[in-house]
Amino acid sequence: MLQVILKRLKLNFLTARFWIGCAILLVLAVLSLLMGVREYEERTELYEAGRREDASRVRSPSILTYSQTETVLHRPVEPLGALSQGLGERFGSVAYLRGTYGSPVISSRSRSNFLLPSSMTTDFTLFTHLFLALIAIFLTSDVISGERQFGTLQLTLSNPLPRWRLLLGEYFGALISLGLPTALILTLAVALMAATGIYDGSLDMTLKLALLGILYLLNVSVFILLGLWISSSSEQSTTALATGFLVWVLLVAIYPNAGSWIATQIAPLDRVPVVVAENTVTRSVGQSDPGETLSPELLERYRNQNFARARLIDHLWTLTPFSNSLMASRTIAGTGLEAHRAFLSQVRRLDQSLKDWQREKVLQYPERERRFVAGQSSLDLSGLPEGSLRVQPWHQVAEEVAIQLFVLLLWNLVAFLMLQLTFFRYDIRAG
Amino acid sequence: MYRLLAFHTVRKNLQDYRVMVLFAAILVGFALGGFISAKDLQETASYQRSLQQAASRQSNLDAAIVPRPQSDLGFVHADIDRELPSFLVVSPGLVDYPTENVAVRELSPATENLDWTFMLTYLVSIVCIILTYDGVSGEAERGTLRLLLVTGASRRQYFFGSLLGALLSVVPLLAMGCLLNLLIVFVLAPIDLTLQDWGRILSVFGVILGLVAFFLALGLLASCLSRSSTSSLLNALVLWVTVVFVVPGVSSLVAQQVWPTPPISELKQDLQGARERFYAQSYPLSSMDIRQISSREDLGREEKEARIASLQETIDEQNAFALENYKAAVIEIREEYLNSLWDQVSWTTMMARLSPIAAYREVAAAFLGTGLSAQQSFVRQARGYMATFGEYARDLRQGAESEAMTQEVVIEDDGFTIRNLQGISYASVDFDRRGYPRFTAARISWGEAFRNAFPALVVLILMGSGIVLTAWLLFRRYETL
Repeated sequence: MLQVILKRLKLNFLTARFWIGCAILLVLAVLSLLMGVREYEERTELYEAGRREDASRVRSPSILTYSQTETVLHRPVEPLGALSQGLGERFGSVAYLRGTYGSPVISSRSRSNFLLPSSMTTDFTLFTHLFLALIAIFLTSDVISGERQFGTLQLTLSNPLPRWRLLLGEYFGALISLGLPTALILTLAVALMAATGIYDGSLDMTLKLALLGILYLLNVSVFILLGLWISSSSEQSTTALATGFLVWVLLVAIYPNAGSWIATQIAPLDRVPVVVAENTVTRSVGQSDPGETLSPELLERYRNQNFARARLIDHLWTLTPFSNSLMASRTIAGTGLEAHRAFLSQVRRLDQSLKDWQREKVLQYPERERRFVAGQSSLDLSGLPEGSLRVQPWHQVAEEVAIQLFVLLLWNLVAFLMLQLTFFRYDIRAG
Repeated sequence: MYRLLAFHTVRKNLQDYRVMVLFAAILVGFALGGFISAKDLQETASYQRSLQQAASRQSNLDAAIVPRPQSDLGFVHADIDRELPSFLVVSPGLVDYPTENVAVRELSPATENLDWTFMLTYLVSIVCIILTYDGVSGEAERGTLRLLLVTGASRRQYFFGSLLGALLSVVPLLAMGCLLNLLIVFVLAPIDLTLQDWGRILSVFGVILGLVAFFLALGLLASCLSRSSTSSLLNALVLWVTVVFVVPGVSSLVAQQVWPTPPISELKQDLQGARERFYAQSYPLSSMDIRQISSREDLGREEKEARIASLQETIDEQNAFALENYKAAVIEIREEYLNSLWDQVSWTTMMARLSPIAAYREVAAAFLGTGLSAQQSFVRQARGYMATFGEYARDLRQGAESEAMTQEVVIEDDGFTIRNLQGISYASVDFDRRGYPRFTAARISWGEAFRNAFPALVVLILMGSGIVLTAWLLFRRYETL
């Protein structure tokens, strides 16, 4: 079996497709890494500046009545967001809360260009998962059918080598040859993150990165097994290659879109601008900021619909390996749907405690609720609730990502079983 | 000879079960797309109605909401219609996008519509390269290429004959799929196509045929590049991935790096700065102003009233001036921001033209009036509307000034009052809505559509003929042994 592994490794390293694929992978990985790190730095700068500014504004002496009090919740910038943007900044990372005197406003620190399609947000995990899967399919889908065509398969099996061991050998050979570029790009990512200070060597982040490594390995392994299975289901190597490629397109391009179409049929979502337009108080140029103009009920309804649909898509995406890996990378990076939900529920809790605090203070100083009379002392702001959020710790992430990893493992097992069953009956005679 | 070779290719394709399975998949895809598009069109129609109602209810003397009419031809190529803002806010001096509320964004990942473009990008193009990847290397491998070339067929006849044959195998299928899609959309969705619409659809179909020819030639090119059919298939697939995934992805990455847009916080800071300049320029009213006059013992009541009135005039004059400056500053800041967004868009579009798929998308969007080209013409038309609306609002505002003054500081003492105007909003002024200028958007005319599409079309034609030429040159020197 070891010899089969070595043979496969040697063959892979001799082919141009392996090196071309790796070169493309490396270029894209480096490009997207650089972009991710740059974006992270910009976001961190905005985060720090925003926090400083808001901390002084919330307690500024120009706040004279309790109806003016507010508190701000900043969502910290996730370090691994440099690898997987996820929902990230697009859906808001700062919440301005006014308690009883206004509904929460969620805004984002930076905003992408809304005139460009958001499907263009390309990050490290997207590119690397995409191309690792492609290389895996290209390397393996003609292994068995190709060897049969050349007649070497019959020759190999005339040795005292059971079929399952041959398969295992081919599998491990491919896994090792793909594991090398995977390890390379992940090391590169860690090195770049360490150089720019994003990776601080803490246990938490190291464990998250380890989870990411496991995810990559599982994903690559699924595609290797799928490629081998396709190969052992076809007679000609070109058929196997074409089928493998179609399966890749199906998994990376068609299924993710289809997931959204299905979700839209099951859990429809109101078109947003109607909701906005019905409630927009149009602004004049003379007003500086229109502020929050949605009615809380509508916003709540919309938010529920939105979450229901997004969660359904998440579930559907968990079902296939490529989309699953994208989701799982987000979860590990802390930029997924659940992390966003945690942010929103923290916003809600903080809003409630601000309301309680305002009520208490108004009971204590009823004359200071809305009116300010010259000569009054500054406002008593003691105990003003201030929220703080932390990036999800690794054990929470591990809990969330467990189901996604499990599904990937299941794919591995099923593909392996199917591969064994198909190859067991494979006609090895050269045609 | 051409005919013979073409029919030979068609027959070969039709006998291949792999090709037939793919053909069936394409037809199923077009049919499914028809159902989804029809549902989408129904939704869009009802959405447009409610948007129209909301717009006429919300428009006032400050600003008018102008909804973007959506093209009925989205089932051919919807582009990013769904993601783009569907209305503009027009106020005198500024055409602006609605301030975005991130809380109401769709949380789910953006997806593509199941339109003709989707089918073309992810299925038809692959079928094309699968049809031609072994046109040269496969025949050479089997030894039939040599036989063909000694029996009287010239290389040119063989090359263009098999290209023609491949085209003839795909085109009827494509036409069938599109017709099926059209039929389903037509029966289920409330659309009404004019002769011009048919012209637009037909011209997009023509561009699609060009793109199909491009992918067929790409397959032949890959075939001429290698000796065995397996490696030519690999070449073809790598070329496909480059064209469909790598080039558009990298070009958008590069464009976003080289022409970044300013973050929203910068915009907010700029606006805040303008507001502060306004405070600095406006009259610093305090209670001392009024007291100095009201507490004068030597003046009579009338004298004091006159003095206060003249003070009020000075204040109003200074504030009106400051307000004008402020408005101009806000308009400038917003315009600059929007321009930077459009700049990035135009650079990204230009970079993306390196990929024929992206170039095709641009051409289709321009012909059908969807996506960015529609958005651009919409903004232009809204600018035209801005002048009409500005004139109308100016007249009505003059009559309604006293109602509209808001955000003012009032100081009272001894029965005298001074007001300090900090801003004017006419949003709540009641007026006769019958004369409100209507915005009617015109479809992009043929000439304009063609002008918009021209650069991408040229790139597409150049790339297509370049690929065919390269493949042909490679084949002329191909070793048939």
